[in-house]
Amino acid sequence: MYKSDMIISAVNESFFQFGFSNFVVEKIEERDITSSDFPVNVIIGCEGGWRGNIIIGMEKEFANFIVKTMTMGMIEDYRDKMGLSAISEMCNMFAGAFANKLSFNSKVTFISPPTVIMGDNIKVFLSKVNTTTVLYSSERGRMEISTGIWEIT
Amino acid sequence: MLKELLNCYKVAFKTRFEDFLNLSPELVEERDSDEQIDFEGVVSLVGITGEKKGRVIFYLSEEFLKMLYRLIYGEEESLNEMELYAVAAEINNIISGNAITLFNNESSKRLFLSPPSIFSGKLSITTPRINSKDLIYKIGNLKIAVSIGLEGGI
Amino acid sequence: MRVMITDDSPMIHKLLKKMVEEAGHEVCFIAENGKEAVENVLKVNPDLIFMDITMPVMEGIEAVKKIREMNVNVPVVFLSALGDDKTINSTKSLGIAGFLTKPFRKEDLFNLLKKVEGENA
Repeated sequence: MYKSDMIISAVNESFFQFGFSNFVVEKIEERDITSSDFPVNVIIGCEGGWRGNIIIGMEKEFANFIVKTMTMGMIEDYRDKMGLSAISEMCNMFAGAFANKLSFNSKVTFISPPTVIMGDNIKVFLSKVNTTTVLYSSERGRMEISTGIWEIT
Repeated sequence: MLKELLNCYKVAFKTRFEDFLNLSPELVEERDSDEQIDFEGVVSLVGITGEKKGRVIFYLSEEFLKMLYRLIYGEEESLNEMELYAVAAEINNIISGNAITLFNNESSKRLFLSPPSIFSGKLSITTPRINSKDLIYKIGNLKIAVSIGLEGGI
Repeated sequence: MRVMITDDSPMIHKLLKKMVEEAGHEVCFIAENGKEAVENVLKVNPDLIFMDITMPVMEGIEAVKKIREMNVNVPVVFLSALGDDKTINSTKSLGIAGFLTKPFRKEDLFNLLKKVEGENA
C-alpha cells in the first residue's frame, strides 16, 4: 500500500467518522518540505517500525470547522484552549489510524503526542527523506497531511 | 518520571556542551511551562514514545544558532538558513539522545525519540495533555530554553 | 586514509569532514543514508567508514550488514547520539573498529583514526 493510500484511508477512518465528509483529495505529491502554507500545523513524531514525522497543516477556517464540529458548536475558535485541544485530539486520532496501517507486517509504530504550531510563513525542516503529501480541499478550507517517514529494516 | 527525565537533561546539557564546545551552560531558571508559548526564532522538536509519551522542544534564537555554528565549525564563513536548521536539529538530537540514554540506563523504563523537526518564524506553540517543565540556560550572554513534557507528567 | 562519511545530518558531514582532513586524511565520499553507502562502497573503496546508526531510508546497522555480505571488510566506526549499552552491543557482532557517541571529541576521533591507520598498515 502506498503511503498516500494509507493517509487517505486513515483520514477516512478518523476525520470522516466525525462527519467531515465534504472534502476531497486535491493533490498527492512527493516533495521536500521547506515551509508551511498553513497557519495551523500539528506535528506528531513516529518511532518503531517506521520513524519520522507527520505534519497536518490546515487553514484557519478548516481548523475552526474541526473545533466547532468536535465541540458540537460550543467552541468556534481554534485558538481557544479547548479548541486547540480538539484539533490536537483530531490529529491524534488520524495519526493513530495511520500508525495502525504502518504497523502491518508486525512493524509496530508508535506516535508521540501532537504539538500545535501556529504562525504565518512558517519555515519547516524535516529529516532528509521524501515527504508524501496529500492535500485536501473543501468549502471550509484546506488541509494538507505530510508524512516524512521511513521504514526500519 | 518527569523529574528523573529533567535531571537527565540537566546532566546531558552540562556534559554535552562542555565536551563538545567547551561551554559552561548555567541553569538560570526551572519552571512549569506555560500552556502556550509565543516565540520568534527556531524551535527544534523531538517526540518521545515508549513507556511514557511526550515531547521535548528547544527554543533557539538565530543569534544563538549562529554562535553555535561558529563554535562548531570555527570559521566566519557565510552560512545559509538550512545549515542553521541542521545545527538546531543536531543539537536537539545530541542532547536529547544523551538524556534519554542516561534515563534508560538508570531506570528500568525505556523511552525512545522520534527524529527532530524544525520550525522557524513567529510561532505560537502548545502541546495539550502534556505536563511540562522549562529549563532556561544562559551561555555567555545568550539564553536557550528547553521544554520537557510527558503525558501524565510527574 | 580514504574515509567515507555516512550520516543524514549536514552538520555532521561538515564537522567530521573538517576533523578528518585536519588529521591528514581524505574524505572520499559522503552518503546521506545507509542505502547510498551500500550502493557506492565498491566504487569508492574507502579505507574507513564512519556510519551513523539512525538514518532514514536504511539505518547504519542494516547498511553494514549488507556491506559485509558483499565481502567488504572495511573498518567501520559507528556514530550515534544514543550511547546506551543495548545500542553499542548491537553493533559488536559486525566486527566494528569503534563506536563514537555524539558529540565526539576531536581527541577521541583522532585517536580512533590513528588506531585504524595502524591496524590497516
